[in-house]
Amino acid sequence: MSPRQLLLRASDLIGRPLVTIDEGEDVAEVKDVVYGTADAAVLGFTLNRRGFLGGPMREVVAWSDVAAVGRHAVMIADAGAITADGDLLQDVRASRRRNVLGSDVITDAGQRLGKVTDVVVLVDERPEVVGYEITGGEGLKPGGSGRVFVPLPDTLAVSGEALMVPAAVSDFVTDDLAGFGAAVQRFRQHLRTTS
Amino acid sequence: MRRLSATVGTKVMSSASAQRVGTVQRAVIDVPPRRIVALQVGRDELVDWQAILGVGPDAVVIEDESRVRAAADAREERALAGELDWKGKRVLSDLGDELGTVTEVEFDEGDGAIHSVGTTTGPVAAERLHAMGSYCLVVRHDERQAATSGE
Repeated sequence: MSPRQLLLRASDLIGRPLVTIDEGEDVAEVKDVVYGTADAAVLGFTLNRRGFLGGPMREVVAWSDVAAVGRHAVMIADAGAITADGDLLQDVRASRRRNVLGSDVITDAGQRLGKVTDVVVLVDERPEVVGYEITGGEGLKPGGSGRVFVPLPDTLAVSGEALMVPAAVSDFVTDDLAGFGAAVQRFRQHLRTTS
Repeated sequence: MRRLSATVGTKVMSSASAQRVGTVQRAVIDVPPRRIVALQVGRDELVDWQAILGVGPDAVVIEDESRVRAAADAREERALAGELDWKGKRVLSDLGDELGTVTEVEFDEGDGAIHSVGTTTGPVAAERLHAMGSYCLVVRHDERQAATSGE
């Protein structure tokens, strides 16, 4: 993976072409992001065929076989990065039962912050989910649009029902993805110094 | 150094017969080795770079008519179909960022080596060229060009 860090909404990745570095061909496109079971890691992508005959592919691509995630394309070394075997297919099946979109985010003080509408991924050496975009939250700081980014602790248990976050999170909510990376860091620092 | 856009459209002459054998339609460029390997001189006709004696402002001169040949493999057929045309091709860095489209190719008329590629976000030196496909031209990431392409 490239040394560059990039904050992305998971929905922004969907539909992005998978391009081979060795041949310059768009061999597939991202159908969905596959998340880990135990932690907030990003494991890889499920794929769709390109073009108007497009449809879901049986093959997947593991994060370890992704060369770079850029602003316009996901780069792989060659078409061999796309595979129909390996552990990732198991993870794909498992992650279907843990869709967080639509889940309520509730603080440990019992306040409902809103509903998850998107997942924020930090693309890095080891990409991870660092936050959620939520809507419908009442009483959240930036207000206005009703759509805000909520940072996640670096360890988080995800159930199918709801997402429990520390109450202090409401101090670190932002409505701007560009400033969100700093908010995540401050929030995690805050959790470390207060626990 | 010569611009590909200026060479496309020039007539192709046979040195042996002094007769016109065609017109330059497009160049077949391989990355690697980052050079023109052949010119398309007619509907389904190619001339290898080795058979070219000179590329000048008014004509491309080849040894003789017998060096005109048909496409020999799938990649050449794709090139003749226009799938691998450079002009207008999307440029993508190896980090997955788009850098506009190709506007020009500058090459050495002596050996056919690509010198640089003009794009809508600035020139790309030949050393950065990585691969050419039907979807895009893949180039090595460069901080300076990334800055001028408005990232």
